[in-house]
Amino acid sequence: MTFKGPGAVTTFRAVRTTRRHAVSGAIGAAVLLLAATACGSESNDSTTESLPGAVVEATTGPTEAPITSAPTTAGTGDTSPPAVDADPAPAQPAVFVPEALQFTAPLVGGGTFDGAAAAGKPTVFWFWAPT
Amino acid sequence: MQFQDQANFYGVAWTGSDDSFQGFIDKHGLTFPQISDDPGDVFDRFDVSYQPAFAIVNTDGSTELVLGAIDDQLLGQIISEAT
Repeated sequence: MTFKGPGAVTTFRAVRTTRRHAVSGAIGAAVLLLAATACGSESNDSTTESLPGAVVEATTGPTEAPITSAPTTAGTGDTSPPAVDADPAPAQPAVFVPEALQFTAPLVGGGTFDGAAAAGKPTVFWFWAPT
Repeated sequence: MQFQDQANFYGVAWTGSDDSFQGFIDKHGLTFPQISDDPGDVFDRFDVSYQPAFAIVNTDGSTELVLGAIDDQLLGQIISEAT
């Protein structure tokens, strides 16, 4: 009882910190990968204390840890959270496409006009006919 | 073009074939993209009933329509208001 109790608590803390790192971005994913690599090469003996969390998680539940925290959380976390944290300002104007520009049309000579590519700057359409 | 760093420019060509459009483009040395709009979909979209005309989509999404020809001075004024 006394041994299992603290052990379980440590595991949960380790998992939480691992997930936080994973959510915060690529660093978390790198930590996970490093821990997993270290686990594969060194986990034969008692490396659980020097490499907390991921090693315990990986050895006790190898199916749960990589699937839930690595591909799902870290996978989605790699792309969106760093973009929001690093530079939220450029992301928003690039995304906003006025309704007037939400169309595509063929270009003379081939290719396609995509109004979304014109968003972010005033856009002038000059209407003409070859009379 | 004079205002190209301040705004995107697109031509919208109406009533013709790509060949006739291209002939007009070559004749006038147009260097910016030209939309081929023979069915008039883009004309309709911006409520342009005749040409020449200009539609300016501001960065906030509001749209201005100028029917008829405009000169450099008016175009500059419109673009500076749209920015």
